[in-house]
Amino acid sequence: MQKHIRQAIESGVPDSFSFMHPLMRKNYGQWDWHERPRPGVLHHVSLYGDEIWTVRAGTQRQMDTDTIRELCEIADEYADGYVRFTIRSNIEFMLADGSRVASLIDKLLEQGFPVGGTGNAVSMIAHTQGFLHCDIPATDASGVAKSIMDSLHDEFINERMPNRVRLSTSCCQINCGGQADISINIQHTKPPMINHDLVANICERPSVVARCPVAAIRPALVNGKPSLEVDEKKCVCCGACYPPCPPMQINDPEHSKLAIWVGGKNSNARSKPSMQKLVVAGLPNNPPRWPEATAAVKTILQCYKEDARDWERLGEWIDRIGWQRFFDMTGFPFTRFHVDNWSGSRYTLNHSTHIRF
Amino acid sequence: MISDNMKYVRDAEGYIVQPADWDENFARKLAAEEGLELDDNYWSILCFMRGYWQQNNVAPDVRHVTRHLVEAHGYDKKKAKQHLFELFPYGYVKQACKVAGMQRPRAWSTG
Amino acid sequence: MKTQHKTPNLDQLESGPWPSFVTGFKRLAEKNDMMADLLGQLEHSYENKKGYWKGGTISVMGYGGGVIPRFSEVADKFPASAEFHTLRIMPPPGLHYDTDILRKFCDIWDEHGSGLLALHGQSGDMMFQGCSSENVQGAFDAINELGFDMGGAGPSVRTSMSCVGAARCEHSCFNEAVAHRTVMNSFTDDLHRPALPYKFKFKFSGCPNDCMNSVQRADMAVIGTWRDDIQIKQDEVKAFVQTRGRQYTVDNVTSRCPTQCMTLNADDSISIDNRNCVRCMHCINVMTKALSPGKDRGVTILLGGKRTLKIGDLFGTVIVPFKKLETEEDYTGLVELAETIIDFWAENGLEHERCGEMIERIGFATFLEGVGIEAEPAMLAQPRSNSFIRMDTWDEEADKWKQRHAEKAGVK
Ligand code: SF4
Ligand code: SF4
Ligand code: SF4
Ligand code: SF4
Repeated sequence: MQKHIRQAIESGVPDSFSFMHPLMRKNYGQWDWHERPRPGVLHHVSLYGDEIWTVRAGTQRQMDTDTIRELCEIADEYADGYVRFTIRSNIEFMLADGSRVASLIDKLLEQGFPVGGTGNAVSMIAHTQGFLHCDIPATDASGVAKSIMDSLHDEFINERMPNRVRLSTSCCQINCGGQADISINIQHTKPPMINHDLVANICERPSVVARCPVAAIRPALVNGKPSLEVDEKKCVCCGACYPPCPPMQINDPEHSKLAIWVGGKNSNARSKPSMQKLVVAGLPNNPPRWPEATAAVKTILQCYKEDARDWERLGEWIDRIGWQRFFDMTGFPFTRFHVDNWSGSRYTLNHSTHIRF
Repeated sequence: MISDNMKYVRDAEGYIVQPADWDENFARKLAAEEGLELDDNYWSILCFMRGYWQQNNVAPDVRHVTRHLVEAHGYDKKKAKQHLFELFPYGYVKQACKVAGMQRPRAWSTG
Repeated sequence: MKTQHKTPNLDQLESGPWPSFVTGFKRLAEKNDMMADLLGQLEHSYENKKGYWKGGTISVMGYGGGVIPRFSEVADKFPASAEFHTLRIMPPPGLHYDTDILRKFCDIWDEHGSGLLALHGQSGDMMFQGCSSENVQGAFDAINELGFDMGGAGPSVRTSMSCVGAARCEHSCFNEAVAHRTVMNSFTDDLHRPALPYKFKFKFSGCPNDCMNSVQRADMAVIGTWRDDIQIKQDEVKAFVQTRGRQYTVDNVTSRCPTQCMTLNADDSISIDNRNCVRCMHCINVMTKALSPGKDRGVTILLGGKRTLKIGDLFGTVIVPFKKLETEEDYTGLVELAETIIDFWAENGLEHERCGEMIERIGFATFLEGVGIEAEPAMLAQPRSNSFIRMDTWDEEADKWKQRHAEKAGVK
């Protein structure tokens, strides 16, 4: 085998300058200020007086080549043949001529790409792999993203939230989607179901034992075969044992639920970055539209929109009004599961008499 | 599962199912499938991997193998890794682990 | 053309205002059997709420990672998508493209793969999804010929991300694109040939707004900042106050400063006590025209961010409070720092242990000692509040601090 196999050219990360809009190249590091003339549009002015208009549009992330070609045609017509993408899979067209912004927007809308996601809007949800391509998902990602963005479309194309809202979704508890203002994540509720016949032939048992965060797994002989067993009292149903040992099936159509977390923030603006906190769990994993999860997200956003001050991120708003009020306003039940018991959890308790009545 | 004379049971991707069943003949046969010719360079690595497995019941990480090459053959660290990937051009998991009779490593499937 | 599977669940995802991936998939399925069966399998997943992919080992010649192998568990029902691997390809920093390169990618992918391209994955890769085992090498060769290289997977340095930064953002405090490439291209071997305890991610954000979410996702986060005074254009401040009003300015700018270091003066100008500014970006974000970061710019480096597995979510924490990033020497220093850290972790990390978890296990002070960095107050939220530690070498440690200070004073 292996004849005429080409050696890879280990070129690493390609240079970005040749792919950059010429005005961005020219004014690299020389931008002075910007404004947002309307949702979905940024207007940047450089120290040299050059101006550039950016039009941001949502995409489905999982794109067929014809969709990409369609976007390329738009870029050739309006944006000198250059585009860039944001971290949340939005596409951006840069225009040297501000007078063409309106017709570009019309064109994008006509082709079905919503324009928005800037400033204090809800941007596209951070999107993982799901059923489409991951080997451990309990739910889909593209469908969740599509459903939620459909229902939040108005908040994507308008800038009427107190501050920007970042969403993410994760289809297992590895949580590729990451921290966000609102995060919709799989939460398994039952320990793995072990197919003991397969364990010995597939799994490196010591590696699996080591993977468990709460030391709930131990080697065992089952039906005379080497296998693994789980102390179900200890197991936190995280699913960490499943990737290294597929016979430890953690995904369950019924018992793998969705949970919603809020208040993740990576920016340093005002408050320090923060981790997201649990709001509600036990939501059904309900394809193809996940209406229960979508409704919960909308409830949270509605309360935030009505009650938060300008510039307050979702977590900052809750810090100001307190969790008691947050649960009152949103109507979600507060349970013993909201009380953290992981290491360091004492610092999440209230060690003061600061209480709102 | 494919079985060779009922001796070496292998999974769909050709990895051995029971590392304890491995022997040198198996290694030669697997190496041939991968287009590799086993010389002393290979055997040093394979023996180390087998020893590690005997002790720990898990496949060693690449870094353990490179450490072995540094200690046993005096390579510097960068060279050791280069050497390893020259011997196994499709990578440690795909080739070294297979020939050394490790179960298919799954630690890196996802996450 | 293959007959198309019935997809009643997925069909419901074709309506609504957001662009539908399903519609695109169906378009591909008309010309590509792999996508036709992929749609079938996906519908099957929707019906049963179950995933049907398993992993495997596929790689290209010379590399140990970068291909995410996927073999179908229901290939008997959907044979054309029995193999549906992903190639992770590293994009340019800032995710800039011209249409020529995008069209070339599309042509390659229509020829060698499914025609389904995800822009971009959570690590920042272009994900060419849907390739048979046989076509992986050919697809990679064609992409590689265009000057693009494989991204990371497995226990390796992973593909990096940097913000748009200097290319279009006035907040940018360093040259993100150059830093990104310089660092990453010093670690191509560690990226392509996995040999670390676990993954290691670099991310580059041009300012403390941290648009790349590096503090929570990067093992090493490089975030732009500045040391001198915020630049103020008082005439623009006045214009802002006059259009928005004093009340608005107080409510949304000065009173929101986390260290209360701003004052709105009687003449509608602003004063900032810069010694107490923590470079949070808030006031600059609100008054984009009037305020900007100072001129003495550089980066703060934080280490150890990661998601939940295994010990819980960790933030990156400060390891270098400030570093200039201008000269070649500065960049070399950054690369060397990363090398030292990765080497130490490769020696001391347990299997499947992220850098931040190792630090948690061995203690931050021990880690600092291991990588030869002196502790500084800026690395902490607060000093210890617990007295249970042996401190009999206090005098020596105190002398070190004094000596360092004397040296610093001497240098100046
Ligand atoms: S969140 Fe889990 S299931 Fe989803 S893509 Fe990531 S690892 Fe896969
Ligand atoms: S699900 Fe998590 S806690 Fe339970 S046994 Fe597996 S690794 Fe351990
Ligand atoms: S991180 Fe800062 S510099 Fe980079 S794009 Fe965001 S705001 Fe601009
Ligand atoms: S950057 Fe933040 S800390 Fe500094 S003056 Fe502005 S609001 Fe205050």
